[in-house]
Amino acid sequence: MGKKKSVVLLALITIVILVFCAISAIPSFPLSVFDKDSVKVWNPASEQYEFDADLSGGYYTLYYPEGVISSMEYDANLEELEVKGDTEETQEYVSSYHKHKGLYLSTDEDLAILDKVTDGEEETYVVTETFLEGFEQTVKMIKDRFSACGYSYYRISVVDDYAIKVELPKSENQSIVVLSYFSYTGEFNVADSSGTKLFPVKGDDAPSAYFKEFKAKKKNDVFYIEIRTTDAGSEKLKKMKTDASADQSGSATINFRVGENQVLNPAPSYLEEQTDNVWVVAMTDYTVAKAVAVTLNTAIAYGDLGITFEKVDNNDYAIYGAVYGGNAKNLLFTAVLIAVLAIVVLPILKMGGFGVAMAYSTLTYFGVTTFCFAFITESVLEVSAGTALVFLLGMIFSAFLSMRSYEAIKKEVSLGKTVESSVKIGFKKTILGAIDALAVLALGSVALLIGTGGFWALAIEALVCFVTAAFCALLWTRVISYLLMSASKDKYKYFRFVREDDDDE
Amino acid sequence: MNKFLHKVMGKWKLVAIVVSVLLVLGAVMQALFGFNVAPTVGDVKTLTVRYESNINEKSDALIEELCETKIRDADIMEKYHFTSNLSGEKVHEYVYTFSAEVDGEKLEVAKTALVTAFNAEKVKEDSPLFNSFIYVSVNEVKAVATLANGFVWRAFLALGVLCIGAFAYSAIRHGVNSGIMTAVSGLLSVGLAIALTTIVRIPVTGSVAYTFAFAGLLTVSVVSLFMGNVKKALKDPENAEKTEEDVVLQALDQKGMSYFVVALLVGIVLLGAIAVTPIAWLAVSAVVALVSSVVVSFLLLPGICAVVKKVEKKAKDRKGKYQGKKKEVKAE
Repeated sequence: MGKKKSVVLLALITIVILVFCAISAIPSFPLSVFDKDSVKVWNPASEQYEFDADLSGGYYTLYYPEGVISSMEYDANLEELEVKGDTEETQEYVSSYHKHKGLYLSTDEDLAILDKVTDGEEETYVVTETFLEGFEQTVKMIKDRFSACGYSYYRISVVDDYAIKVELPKSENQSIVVLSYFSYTGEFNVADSSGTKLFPVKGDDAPSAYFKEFKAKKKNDVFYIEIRTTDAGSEKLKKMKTDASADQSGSATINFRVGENQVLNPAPSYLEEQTDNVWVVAMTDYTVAKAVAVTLNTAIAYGDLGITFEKVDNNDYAIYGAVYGGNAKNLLFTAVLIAVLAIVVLPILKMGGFGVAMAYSTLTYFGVTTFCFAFITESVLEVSAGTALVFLLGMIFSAFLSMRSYEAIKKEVSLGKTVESSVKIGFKKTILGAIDALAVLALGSVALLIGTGGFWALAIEALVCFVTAAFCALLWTRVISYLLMSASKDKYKYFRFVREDDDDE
Repeated sequence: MNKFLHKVMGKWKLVAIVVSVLLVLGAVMQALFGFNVAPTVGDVKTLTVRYESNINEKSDALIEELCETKIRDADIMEKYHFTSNLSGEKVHEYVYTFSAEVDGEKLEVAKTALVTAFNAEKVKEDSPLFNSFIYVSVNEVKAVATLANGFVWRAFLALGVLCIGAFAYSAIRHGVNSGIMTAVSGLLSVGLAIALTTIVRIPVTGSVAYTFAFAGLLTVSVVSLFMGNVKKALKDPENAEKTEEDVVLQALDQKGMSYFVVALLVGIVLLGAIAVTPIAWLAVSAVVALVSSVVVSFLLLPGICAVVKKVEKKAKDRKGKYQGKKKEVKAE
């Protein structure tokens, strides 16, 4: 290729690569810098990333069974009563609760949490077997709910033996809605708009004899819940639908509930029988549909466990930042950028013009992978520290394979061949080895797709990194090197090779 | 480097013994103690300060200062702490997390001291905490579930399939024995990484699985490259008179591989040094994974490869002699 053409093409490629890198890396700034009237803000592609809990924090809330309160709530209520000055009321409040670690348990007999036990002259309280068993089963049910949703990260803990703490990362869609649904406990039932229970009523069998499964589905951006019923269940739903449709007000709904909590409440016209014993209800969000389906399925499987959680509203959710500091993301980016800079600069120092070709390749790798991480999503690509690892591996491996080619070219030149033929032979000798290594990496990444949660996301990220590394190492470095070599005056100097003639001089 | 690797190659059996001992020790420690679970995912005790008033820099700083002082005075050490906001940022919580083994009585002492200190500040007119609502609680938190359903067994299955895939590719390209060596190297490096992480008691979360995958991917790709080099080197007529050990060493591309390993090590150390604590621990796990990969790929495999290639050559020579005899008989 002629020198002029090479220079023009190189200039165009440089602009494209720089734009890619700028889109990925330039930090946020207000666009009013360019246009005073503008209220927009420039955000790099990395702002689109969803980070795991370690890097961006998440949401958590606590589920307190009815009759169980935190020591902070107890202290706050007691403080209020003491300010009021009513000693009797204060004493009554104090005796209505029994301290257990960081919680206070109600002594109310109706709630059946505690049994009074007299040990000689001392009176104490012990937790009832019924409450213990119910709580244990409830913990299991909550665990099953989170497991069924396939989250990359979640945490369920038992706090002071009788409260449950649940956490989801910020990156998960609709976290607050999901945490709310998962707090619903009680019997699965279906009611009409006025709250009158339609199912189960006297004479009905267990819900599992009517409703087999609720399943969240999506098809071409349409989300729905599929309700699989038995024949008896289908008959029940038909009757409910007919009765609700006959309601003159037009605002009737069929309410699928867990205890007193409404989980799914379609209007009768939105509850359709798709095929025999398969009904569908349209939903607006897939994550919510999954949470609804899982909540209803577990309610049917576990039944009424005798534990009801205090209602969790929007004020009860805590948002926490990255556990080790708000700068976690920035520090990770900084570390990665320093690594990129090192891989860009060092080859230039060591290999001259070919190092420049490698620098182009590295910047292309950086731009393409960061771009792909931002835009290849269905909110499944959670960026974690593992992402940084596979990014580093792909980038350094690509540089290593290019370096192998350089060494092979150098060896051919040392045997007395011309630079042009050495380049051809050098690349030819190393290409198969590079293909082997990259093919194994790509195959390995595909195998990792078997993993679940964050492992699955890492597999996709690894595939992006290694396919990009393959493109850069096998093709792009060679193309850029060819263009640079065409534009170069002295091909030996380009590669920083020493000519044998120079030695003699 | 050449002399060192030559020496190590001759002692590959010793390296194999050391690796085996580490694997067995790791397995025993896994069975007895499991991993050293990081405090962010394991059982912990917490001291929480809930502040239900308008927060500002001064109140924030004072609360943190009092917490740190009283915790220190109670002779207990926090693992980490974080802040969270509730009710649209009207309520703030400062959560100090301690090991599950920390003395509960000392924690109560810290709590009592904090309550006293906050009560004193609440009545001081010039204090940032004047007339505010602050509550302190101490809790025991026991982890019930932190991983997605089937995370562990599917991760192991994925790593197994990775090795099978590597075997298949390497076997097709370089021969069955090369395929076996590639797959076994992958499994060994993952096993060694798991063993070392268990033995050294690196605090782990679910993301430690990423470093094991890193060990597997790195090893199978490097070994696959190495097997290609060995095959090419053995076919080269210039190497006909050389021993298998010399050919294998030559195929190892020591200079290039050294740069590659060093660059990876520097990258991982940079990640750990500059980033925050959980990433630092992940970087330590990644260094362990890199070390496992290097031990298997560069210290153990070359020796085994030389032996395998010797056996292959003997088998090939025997086959050649046998055919020769047949030809002689036919000629007669």
